[in-house]
Amino acid sequence: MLFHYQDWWPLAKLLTSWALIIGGWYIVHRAALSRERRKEKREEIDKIIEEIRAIESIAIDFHNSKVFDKKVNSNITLRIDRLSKKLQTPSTFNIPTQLMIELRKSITLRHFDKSDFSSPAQRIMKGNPYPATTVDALIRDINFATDELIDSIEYSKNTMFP
Amino acid sequence: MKIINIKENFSRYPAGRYRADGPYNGEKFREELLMPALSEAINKGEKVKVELDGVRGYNSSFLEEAFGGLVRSSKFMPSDDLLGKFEFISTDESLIEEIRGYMKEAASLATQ
Repeated sequence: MLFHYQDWWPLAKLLTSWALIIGGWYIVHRAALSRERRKEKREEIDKIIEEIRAIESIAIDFHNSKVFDKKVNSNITLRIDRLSKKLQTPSTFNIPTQLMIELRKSITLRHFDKSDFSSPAQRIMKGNPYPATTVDALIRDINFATDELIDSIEYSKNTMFP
Repeated sequence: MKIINIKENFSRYPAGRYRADGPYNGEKFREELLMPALSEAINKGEKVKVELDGVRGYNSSFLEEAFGGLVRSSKFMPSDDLLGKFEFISTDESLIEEIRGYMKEAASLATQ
């Protein structure tokens, strides 16, 4: 039995309409999903930046403190460790490892242990290895390392998840 | 190969540079674990594997004193190529790079 043009044309029109509807829905769905993922990543990055700023602030308070605070010292170490691991999670970011090293070094290499810590009163005494100017320089190093790391993260955010 | 797992053989909470800074400091780690392990490994012609994971964070001062201090110590000369005697294992690549940096820095200062 032969099909005539009049027989299959309405069916073809119906199938085309459905294909367009399903195809359109799929494209819109994929775009929405991609937008949602980008939004989630950007929010995640914003939280990481907030954490870096928090570490910077706590570290500066620690170094300026009149007394050595063991709890804050341990807390900073732990938070830097978590941050470092988070930043090196594969496929999340592409941050140079050196920037994380610089941040950890700027905060925990000098003037971070009890034997190496001086109060502001001690800092103005003669012969003290950490006069106020040295602590100021150390804080500038922390600011610099923090800004460098954040700039790199912001760059990744804008290039990987525009 | 001699293996040092810091979490199991030393502490989950390593901190501080000198003995005065706490019970699990870099100086103690270097003298009580790192140096004996390295001596043994050198005698046997082996390497020392240092496993860094499982610890609640490292301070740079601890790492510098332990590994940079090892190079500075008179017992092991930089010419022995100490860096080549170690294999570091960590999920945090920045720790391995930082340790290598301290060892190279101490070696270059020692040769000056």
